[in-house]
Amino acid sequence: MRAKVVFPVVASLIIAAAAMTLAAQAGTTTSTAACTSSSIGFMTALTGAGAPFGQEQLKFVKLEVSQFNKQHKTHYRLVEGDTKFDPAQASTIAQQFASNKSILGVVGPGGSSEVIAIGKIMTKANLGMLSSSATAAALTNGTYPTFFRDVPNDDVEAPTEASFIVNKLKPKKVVIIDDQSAYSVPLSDKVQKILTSKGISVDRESVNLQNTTDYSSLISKIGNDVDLVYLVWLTAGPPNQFGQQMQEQGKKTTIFIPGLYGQFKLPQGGYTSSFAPDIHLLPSRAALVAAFNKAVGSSWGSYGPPTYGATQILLNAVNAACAAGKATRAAVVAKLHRTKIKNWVLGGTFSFTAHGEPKNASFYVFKVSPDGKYTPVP
Amino acid sequence: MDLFVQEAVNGLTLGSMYALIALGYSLVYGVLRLLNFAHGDVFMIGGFIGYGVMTAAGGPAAPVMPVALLLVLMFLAAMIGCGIIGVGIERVAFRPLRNAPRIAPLISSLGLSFFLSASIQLHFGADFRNYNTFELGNGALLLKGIHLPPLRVSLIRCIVVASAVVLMAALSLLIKRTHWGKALRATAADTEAAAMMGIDVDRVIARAFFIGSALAGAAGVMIGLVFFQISSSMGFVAGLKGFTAAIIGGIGSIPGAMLGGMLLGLSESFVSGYLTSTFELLIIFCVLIAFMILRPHGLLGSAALQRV
Repeated sequence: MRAKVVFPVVASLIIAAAAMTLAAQAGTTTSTAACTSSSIGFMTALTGAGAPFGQEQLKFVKLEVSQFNKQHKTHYRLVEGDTKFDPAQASTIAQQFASNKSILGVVGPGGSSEVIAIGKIMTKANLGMLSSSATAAALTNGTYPTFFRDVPNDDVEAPTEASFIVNKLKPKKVVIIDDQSAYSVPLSDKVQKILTSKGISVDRESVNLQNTTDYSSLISKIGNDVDLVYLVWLTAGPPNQFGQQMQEQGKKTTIFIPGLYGQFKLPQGGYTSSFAPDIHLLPSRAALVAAFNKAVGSSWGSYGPPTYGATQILLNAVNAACAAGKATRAAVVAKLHRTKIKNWVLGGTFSFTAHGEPKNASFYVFKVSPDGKYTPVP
Repeated sequence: MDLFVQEAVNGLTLGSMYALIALGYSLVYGVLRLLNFAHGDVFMIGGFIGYGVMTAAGGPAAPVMPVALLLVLMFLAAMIGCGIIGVGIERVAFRPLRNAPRIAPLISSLGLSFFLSASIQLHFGADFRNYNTFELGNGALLLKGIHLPPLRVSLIRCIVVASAVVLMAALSLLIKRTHWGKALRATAADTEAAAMMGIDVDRVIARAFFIGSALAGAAGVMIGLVFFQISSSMGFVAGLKGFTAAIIGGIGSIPGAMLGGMLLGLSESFVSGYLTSTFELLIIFCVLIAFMILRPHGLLGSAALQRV
């Protein structure tokens, strides 16, 4: 009788002790186990009007993940999310990423509107996000403490482009057309303010790209006295369509479309800008260009390399957090703040400011000839 | 004056396409007294069929046939393909529910609309497809045309408007001068009586769907040629605008659909030109609401008498 009572009690105690020991060991091995099953997220427009940018970025993200894992003997995985440049869709993807515990950081999102839509979700989840294309200046005012970017914001872009317009193009009358997005409106406002202060006459128009596919009426309003159209549209297809319809109506006005580097297909040529130098044109990056061409093909513009760089930054932060035994999202964000990468993909040494902005970043203006050749403008 | 003339040209181009879509709504409403909510997606599919034909023929930059022949093939393929889809819609969504409560076929066609747009998205993806009209004919379709200042109409817009006028004229002749047109008018006037007179009502209705959908398919190709881009989501707004045009002209009235389409296109163009494109949809749907309240039978429709 005694044996019937004692034996189960002793067995239970042994089992409980074993379980506690195992749990303790699991706690000890958690960081290692977590890092071997860790992922980074990537969110941008992979379909829809923004797909040309998103697909280019995706190729470079995948390349860097593969190269990093090979070099560091790690097994980080990539989880993709297609936002279609739609803030509502971005919110859904952000919720998915936030609830996926294996994701320790995110490259993206692609657009400033998306950052605004998901900022609170990501802040609550303590999930760092590193964008290589969201440039609205207000994003780093402290509202989204886990947001970083590796490209300059509109406060750098607006004076650069406005200065080019004023000093090189010297127009008397300019039409600025925004697309009502969080990227376009502030940039258009800033450039308009600068041009107006320099005595240039500015007409402002606005178009909702979600609902509008015909720009004929808008183009008809552009008089023959307009010297420049400054088209601040987020995606590639509509600006090119706009340019073709301008040709159709016989308008000879110069067009400047910021941020369309690599996707500028207007038959009349024009000007565009980029938040990163074209590394095709940098002799010091020739080997890297050759490596990119071999890995992803030769059809890429200025969106891929900064995203490659962003992925590199994030993986370095994740790896550093894992090596320190703290594979947590908060630890990754802390490591991001302390980023310092020498001989970075776009040249020089990369680090962040206290607000998550890249230090010493610049914008670049390019002239595009009718046959599609890009020439940097000094 | 320059702006007025150019906006009028823009409006007529748009209006031609809306008129073709509106005709489909009116044809179906005329015979069934029901709306086909999948009609906008038929228009969208027409655009994709045209795109497919152009791609199969070597693409816009290097087609394997003369551009004129390619355009004819694109239109024919889209019209026939969409016509067949229209007949399918009638067989699947409307005929089985002919004796059901009136809301049933409406919901059925709405479901079919989602099915069609999702199917296209599944097959082609959500990306925009570009007709690249500028490359077709080495820019001639956009750069050549009528250039009489202040009037400037590109060749492709001339082709689109002319094609729409020809199609509308052909439809009018078909309805007024042919045996089938007489049968259609009889069915529209009184389906039971038409059946008693020996008219194959099912066949007449199927043909109405075929012709209405074929016209929408032609409009889909026109949209791609003039505005260069098509996508799987473009059917919804275009369908709404076509429906609005049909209401303005008088739902069930063929001349009304043509007039409504043109008026809608011109309104949209002038609002964009003289006000802002931001309020374009707002104003169009305010006009729709105004017509529904003040003149529900539209400009050319007749007020229906209810026998009690």
